[in-house]
Amino acid sequence: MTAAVARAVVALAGSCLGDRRREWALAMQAELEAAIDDGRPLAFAAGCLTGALRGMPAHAEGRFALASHAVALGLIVPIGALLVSGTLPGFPFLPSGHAGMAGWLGGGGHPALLNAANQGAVPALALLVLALVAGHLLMPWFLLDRDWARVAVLARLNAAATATLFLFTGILVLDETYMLLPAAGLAIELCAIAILFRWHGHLPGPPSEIPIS
Amino acid sequence: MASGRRPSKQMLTLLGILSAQAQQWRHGYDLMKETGLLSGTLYPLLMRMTDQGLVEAEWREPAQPGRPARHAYRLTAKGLALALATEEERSLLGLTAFPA
Repeated sequence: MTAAVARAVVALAGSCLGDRRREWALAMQAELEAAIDDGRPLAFAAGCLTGALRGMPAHAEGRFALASHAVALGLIVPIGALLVSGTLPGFPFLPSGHAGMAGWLGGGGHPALLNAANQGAVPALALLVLALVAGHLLMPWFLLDRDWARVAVLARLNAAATATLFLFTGILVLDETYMLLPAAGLAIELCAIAILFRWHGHLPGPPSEIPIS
Repeated sequence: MASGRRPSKQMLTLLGILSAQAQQWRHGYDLMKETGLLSGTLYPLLMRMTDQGLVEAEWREPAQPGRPARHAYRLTAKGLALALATEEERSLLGLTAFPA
């Protein structure tokens, strides 16, 4: 069990080292066997990980990985959380104090903005908001995986969902100001992703040959 | 000196160990035990010294079957020259191998 955890930690250290240092990652993995024989695999593995993490800001790929994690966890996930928190107390993006979706579902609320004329649109809009939330939660995954094709598809879907919500919020004579924050969040997110995509294109490629397989 | 800066105490220690048997290839874990450096210090140091042309690395066949090939290290001529140039500094600092 300890050896398995140590192998996972050394593998993580190898990821932090990046493609440029793949040979060193393999060297650490090989040396871990000696540490296992010596009964100190975890200390060895933890050292490799801290060394790799400390070195990340020193190389281009490490800086890119740190920036990607910062955008994914510090920007995109909070935007998703903001959408969730906006959806739970009210719909769409109504502040607390309104009955919102919960009131509409319960039938006993007194929504300030939803009325007999527009409440029929709530299920479709609610689904759209939930799809947008799902899109924001999936985005960090694809971004950290550097799966740019999926990132592009998801960015288009999120942009389309936000635009649709914005339009229908207006058509239903709901307060548009509650759409400004998600729209601004989406714009910032798309800009950050575009910058990361360009940055990734300028990163040096992996070494063409590794001495051993 | 390769980087134009004074070698760190850790680098001096590693230079001392590697220059003691300059022609011999040494494995990372053995170097850890001999120098007393932790893996989080030793590997970044070896990478930096390799980048600076002070250390050369080579893959060596495993001693036991079924084990992966191991990376081994030794000083280059440049590394050996640095070791010799810093010999006095190392003795002043009392830098021999740290206890493992």
